[in-house]
Amino acid sequence: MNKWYRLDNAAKIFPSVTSDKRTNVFRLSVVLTEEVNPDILKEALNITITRFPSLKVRLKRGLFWYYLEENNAEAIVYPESSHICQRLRRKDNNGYLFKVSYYSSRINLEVFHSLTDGTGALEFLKAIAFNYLLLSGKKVEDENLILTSAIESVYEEAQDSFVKNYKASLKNSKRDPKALQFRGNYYDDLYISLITGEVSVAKLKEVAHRYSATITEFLTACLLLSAVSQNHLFRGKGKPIQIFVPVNLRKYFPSRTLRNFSLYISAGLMPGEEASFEDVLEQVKKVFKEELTKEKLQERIVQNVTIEKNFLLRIVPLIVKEIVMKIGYNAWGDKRNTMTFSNIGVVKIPKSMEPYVRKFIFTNGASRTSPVNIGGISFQDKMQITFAGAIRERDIQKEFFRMLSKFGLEVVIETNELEV
Amino acid sequence: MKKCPKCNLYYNTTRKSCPLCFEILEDDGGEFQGPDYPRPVPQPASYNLILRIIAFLSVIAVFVSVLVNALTFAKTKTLWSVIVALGVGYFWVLLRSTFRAKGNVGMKLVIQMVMLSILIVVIDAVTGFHRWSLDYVVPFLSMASLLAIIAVLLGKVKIAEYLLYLLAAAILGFIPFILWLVKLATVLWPSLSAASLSFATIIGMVFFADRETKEEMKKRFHI
Repeated sequence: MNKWYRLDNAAKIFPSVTSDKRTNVFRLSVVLTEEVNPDILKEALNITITRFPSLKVRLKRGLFWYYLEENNAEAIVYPESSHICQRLRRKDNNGYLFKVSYYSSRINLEVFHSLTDGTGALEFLKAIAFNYLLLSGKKVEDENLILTSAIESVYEEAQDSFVKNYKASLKNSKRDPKALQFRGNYYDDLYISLITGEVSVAKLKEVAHRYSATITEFLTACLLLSAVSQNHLFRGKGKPIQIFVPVNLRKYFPSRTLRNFSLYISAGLMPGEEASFEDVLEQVKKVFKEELTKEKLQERIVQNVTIEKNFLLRIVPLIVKEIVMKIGYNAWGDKRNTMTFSNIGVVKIPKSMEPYVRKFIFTNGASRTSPVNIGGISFQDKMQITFAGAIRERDIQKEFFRMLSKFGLEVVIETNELEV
Repeated sequence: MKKCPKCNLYYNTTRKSCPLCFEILEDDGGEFQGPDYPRPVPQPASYNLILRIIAFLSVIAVFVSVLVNALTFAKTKTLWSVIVALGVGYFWVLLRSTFRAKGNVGMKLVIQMVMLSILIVVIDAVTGFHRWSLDYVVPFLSMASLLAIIAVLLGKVKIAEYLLYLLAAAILGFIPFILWLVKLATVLWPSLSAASLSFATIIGMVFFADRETKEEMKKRFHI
């Protein structure tokens, strides 16, 4: 009997609003010290996947909802494509909602957002890398930091933690303001540019602490300020630049889930206002302080789950739901944020693995409606800040990295091919 | 490692100019540290000329029909161009769904039933609405498609994939009878036959479903 799962609360929207131009795919990469062997990688992937039943699935249509059904097909590994975070088609990849690829010494895991969020995907990638190193004959041990088959898979890993933290008594009807939207020259063929800046975590922390801010707060303020002067990149007036910052809810609510369990908070800045860096940072800190409380977050969870619990909505056939969700998402979905800055935080891997791993990179995909997004991930003393861009203009990237440099940080930049 | 004097940023790249401000990079001679990224290859563009010609002709045909119909409406007093438009639409359903290798046979049958029913009801309505469509054609179409899905299903090992469409066809089979109840249709026996067949199908699903099929139904119909 095949196992099956309902889509979690956050995942429900994605299958209906995904297209070639809005793929809802993000990417985590790990760079090893040696060239990747595809055969071993494939073996490692197929061993790892058995430990992650909630990812070992394909997407199916029901009469009322999509659902995830156990997938017993072999998972495939691909040579990396120059076009990253492309739509994962249901018929490709043996139906899996993720795609593992390799290039030189890099292993990439591209994930469709209905499956899991960054935290869940990172656990999966770590386990793939661990099994890969193990199979290539390296002396690595899990040190209880890797989900290996030795640690039992528990039901809670497949839990919808949104629904678990639903309390009917809490209500919140706050809606975010509409945000300024990008205007720019899109790349052909849905190409996405990558610009990754590497900075020292210790130095970044030191600079942020000078303003008694966290790294995420500090970088969010930098991003707002780098965007605010780029009038030519935005259309419309009188709207703020809003940056969505996803929050890992596992830090606030006890949960072992490997599925989606994150929400965003939104920090904004109105163009035209004369604001010093300190002012902007204070504003960002205020948003973080106010929104990042257990009560506020739970209100937001309840707000989201309430929609899903609506009986009338539930008994509408999926075909109709899809049309409604498409129209609704086109009208409101991407209109409340200008950019998203997702900081996954520090990756912890076993000491025995560290000699074989150079870095982790997190790419928050870009789309036609949200063409510039930023992903951050730290490993050892290096943080990789990656801009994914669907538009050719890179003024924000330039402004942002120059700003970091002016704060005395040494930034090393890598890019994929930008002149295509 | 390379450095941009203008940006004051370092680059691990094989480029000669700064990717952010296009200033020529200073090179301290250090090697480029891989891995780089695969070179972009242009994605093959899809351009199906035949399909585009058919689409073009479809639009023109409908446009001309509507135009002629509008100009001669005073004489003919019928909206025959609606039939042309729907006929062209039905042709596209055949092309994009029914004749494709991909797709579930059950789904194709349900779509056929719905589209043909709409087409025939409209033809009836435009030509004086003598009710022959609702009285006879729609009920028999519904029975035919339901029986066809059952026939397909009996020959298959994996019936799970067809359950959704079997149920959809069964539920749609009640519509002619409902139309008779609200007096839109005038002859009872075809509608009643269709409704009875649908009822029998649903009862049959309940009685003959094994555990696996029941589990499949739970998945497919969870709300």
